Amino acid sequence: MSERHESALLHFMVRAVMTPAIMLYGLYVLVHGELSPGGGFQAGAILAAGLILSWLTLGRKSESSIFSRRTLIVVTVLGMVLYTGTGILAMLFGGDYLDYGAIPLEWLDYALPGELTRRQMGVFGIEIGVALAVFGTLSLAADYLTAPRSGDEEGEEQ
Amino acid sequence: MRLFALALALGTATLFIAASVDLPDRGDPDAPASNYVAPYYVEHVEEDIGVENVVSAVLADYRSYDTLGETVVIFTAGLAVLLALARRERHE
Repeated sequence: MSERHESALLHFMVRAVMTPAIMLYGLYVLVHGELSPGGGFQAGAILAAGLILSWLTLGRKSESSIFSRRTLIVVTVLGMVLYTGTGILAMLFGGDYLDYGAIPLEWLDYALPGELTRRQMGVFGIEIGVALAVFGTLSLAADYLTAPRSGDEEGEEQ
Repeated sequence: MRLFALALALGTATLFIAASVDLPDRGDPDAPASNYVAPYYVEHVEEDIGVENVVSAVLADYRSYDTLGETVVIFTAGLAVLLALARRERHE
């Protein structure tokens, strides 16, 4: 997948229309996951689909500056850390593991009674973590599978 | 050998079909599956979590340990695949 397809229309459609639309829809599914069907797993898969589509059509190199292999590994681990960190944060303030109501962010409690807003934020936090982890894992797998064979100088060893 | 395989498949299918006759109807409110904790989740989600999507509430709050496990499974599977692929790349 290293050589680029030479169609201006294809480049325009993927770069300016489809990838942004898919990515935006992934963010919508993530942010709206508490109100409508959706959530972290689905959002991560949709985000990865957008990235992989652009890799498959535009070639791997055009995008590698933003989502390099190292960045994707960092994103994946960051997602896991966000999930477990939310749980540990609740533990640090005297709650149970993943008991979001224990996190003392009282200034959030204006929209809903009691600790409900904090609970929603906790749910949202771990959904973001799940989305990042799924996005990173799927993109990394696609990255390794579409990487040019050795002999091509894209190696980016670490 | 192929006849034995056919008999085995047919026998298993017969067992499954015979067992499925005893299953409760789909969406039966008296089924054990919808009588354990599911009614509690549906009735209390508004006051417990305040998330309108009950599926999200169960996934990310009531059963967040389970979701943590799922995420770890995906993470670990991805890690294992990457290790295998990186190894192949280095050997070439």
